[in-house]
Amino acid sequence: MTESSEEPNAVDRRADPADTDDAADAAESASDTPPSASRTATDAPDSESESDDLEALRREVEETYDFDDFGPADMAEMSLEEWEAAFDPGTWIVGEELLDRVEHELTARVAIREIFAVVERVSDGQDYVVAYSDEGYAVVYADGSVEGEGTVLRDVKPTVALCSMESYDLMEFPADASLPEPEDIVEGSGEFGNLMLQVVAGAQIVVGLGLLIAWIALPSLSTVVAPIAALGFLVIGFFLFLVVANARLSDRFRTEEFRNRLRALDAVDAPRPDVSDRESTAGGTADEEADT
Amino acid sequence: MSSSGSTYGDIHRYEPARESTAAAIAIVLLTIIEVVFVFLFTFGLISGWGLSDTGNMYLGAVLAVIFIDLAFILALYRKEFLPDVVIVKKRRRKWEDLYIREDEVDGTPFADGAWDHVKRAIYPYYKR
Repeated sequence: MTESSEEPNAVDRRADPADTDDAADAAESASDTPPSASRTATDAPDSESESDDLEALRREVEETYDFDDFGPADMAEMSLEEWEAAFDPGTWIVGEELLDRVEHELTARVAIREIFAVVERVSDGQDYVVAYSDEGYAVVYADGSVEGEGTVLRDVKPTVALCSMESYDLMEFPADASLPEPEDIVEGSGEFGNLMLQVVAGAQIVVGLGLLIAWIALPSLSTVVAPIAALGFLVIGFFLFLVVANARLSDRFRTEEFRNRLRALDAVDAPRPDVSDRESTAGGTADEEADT
Repeated sequence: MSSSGSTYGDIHRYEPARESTAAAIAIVLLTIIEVVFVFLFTFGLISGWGLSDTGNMYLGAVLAVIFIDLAFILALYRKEFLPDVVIVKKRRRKWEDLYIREDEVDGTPFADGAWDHVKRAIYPYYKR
């Protein structure tokens, strides 16, 4: 990586032995977030012997652990030096480039509606990417650490992990990638399908009733098939009408619910919603949280 | 995390139905076929077509067409005429969440040895 000048902290931390706990924590959570605390010797190959030592250690690690079948127990067994030798943190993307990638990827995921959030790039002193909705937020820092709460955090975490990998190609997104306006959500889409289903249901009901009446009225029609078929048609017709009624009713509630959620998102206009901010704006949800 | 209890039922995604022209044409045709065959079946049943061998087969085929056609109508309706909605739901505990150790990811053995398996299959209460 070339952005090491962006974060002088990283070099400091490498020299600071008190920070090893920090690094170990980062290593343990490596499956979620890239180990952020340190850059290894790849940045500064000062002496030949040091890199030779590293090579030897790396080979030793390769022999000791079976990385095809690597689990948490092996991970716990590893010492920090072994870990750093085996997993070169230089292979993770961090810094400015990570934030660019995360912002791009999150926008694309919002565009395909996989994540429900507003994505913003904030730079007041420190650069970071914020994604928030009415139900939570996530802040991605340049070193790859993520903090936040709620469903947004859960959705953002894997994105950050993906974006920190060189081999991951970012998704493309259309020009208008943001969430829709509340007014753009119209109910009654698919009404034509409902109409067709009603036609089918109506025909089934008419035929069912007709068959039942014919079976009672016509003496020539004495077969037991007639009432059974009539009952079958009536059941199918009733079921189809039920399907249409359910579709319309749930559609009405869902559009209203989704509009409310988008409005709640509009109301959160502070660039970085902290806890007090969220509680004052998203009033309904705050009440619910108080109940639980 | 998401277990705060207040996010259940939140609508995560609401995309209006696609309603493509091809789907609209297809569902209209299928609906016409459905209605025609439903009436044909009833007419045939009342006129006693089912009393002869061929007529019985014919009536059965008509009924089959009715059901298959209905299946296609419902599939098309589901795919093209319902909005795409994702709702936050509670993830209930699954069997695979229980007693997970690293060496138990593929489950714990039910018995040891093939013969023991046979014995336990025959008598489930054999030596807990």
